[in-house]
Amino acid sequence: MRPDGREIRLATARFRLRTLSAADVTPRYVAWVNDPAINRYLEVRWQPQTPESVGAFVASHNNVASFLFGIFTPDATHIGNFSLTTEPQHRRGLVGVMIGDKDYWGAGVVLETRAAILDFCFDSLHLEKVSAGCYASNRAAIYNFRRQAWQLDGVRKRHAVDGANRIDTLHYAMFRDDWLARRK
Amino acid sequence: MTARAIVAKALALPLAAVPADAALASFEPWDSLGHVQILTEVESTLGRTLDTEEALRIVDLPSLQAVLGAAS
Repeated sequence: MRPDGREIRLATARFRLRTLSAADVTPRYVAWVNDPAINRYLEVRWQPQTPESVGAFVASHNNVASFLFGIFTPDATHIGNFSLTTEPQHRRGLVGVMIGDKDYWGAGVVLETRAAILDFCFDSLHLEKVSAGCYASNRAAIYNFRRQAWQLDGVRKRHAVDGANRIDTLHYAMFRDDWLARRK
Repeated sequence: MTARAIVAKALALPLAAVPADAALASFEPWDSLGHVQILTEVESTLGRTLDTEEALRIVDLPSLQAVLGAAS
């Protein structure tokens, strides 16, 4: 079913994903995006984030072409987010992820929940291509792309700043036919 | 140091616990944080930072050994 702006709920074996709302902008969420260990690879790090700025970010997603999903445990603890922006004319999307709760780092959350996001992209939004990117220094992200069989779609040399270094950025793609074949 | 020994050290496992076919996609301890630790251990062994192409190449013991071999 195509999204119509209403809340969307997805589920995996261990997690629930749903559209974030203003009520989800908690001090805990705001603290994540201001934590250097969490925001190291996020562009939000360039400005101090406030409840107002995070609230504006949440509200900027229309739930038709742009989406912000929270990742929740079964007891409704918020542990991270997925953003998804789409360009329906090109049938493509761009996905980003943040795991804010460090207790869930290395727990396979991204692999499990991004599978549900990809299902949503290809089954509900009928996209043909989903893109995502990371800094070359973000090796946990690279692991996840490799493990989930994303294709390397390009390397932009010395494209970003990570601490004192200029680093490459990596751009990955998942195509509809590859994902559907993998899902069988 | 061999690729297998590097993986064992990075993941804090005995050498015998690292199978000859250990790979990113199939060896459970080689998870996302394990991958970070393995690449950090490779860099420590080589005494330098891996470039992007080298880091992308490492997905299993043979590819890790190839990076070590090319660098020595």
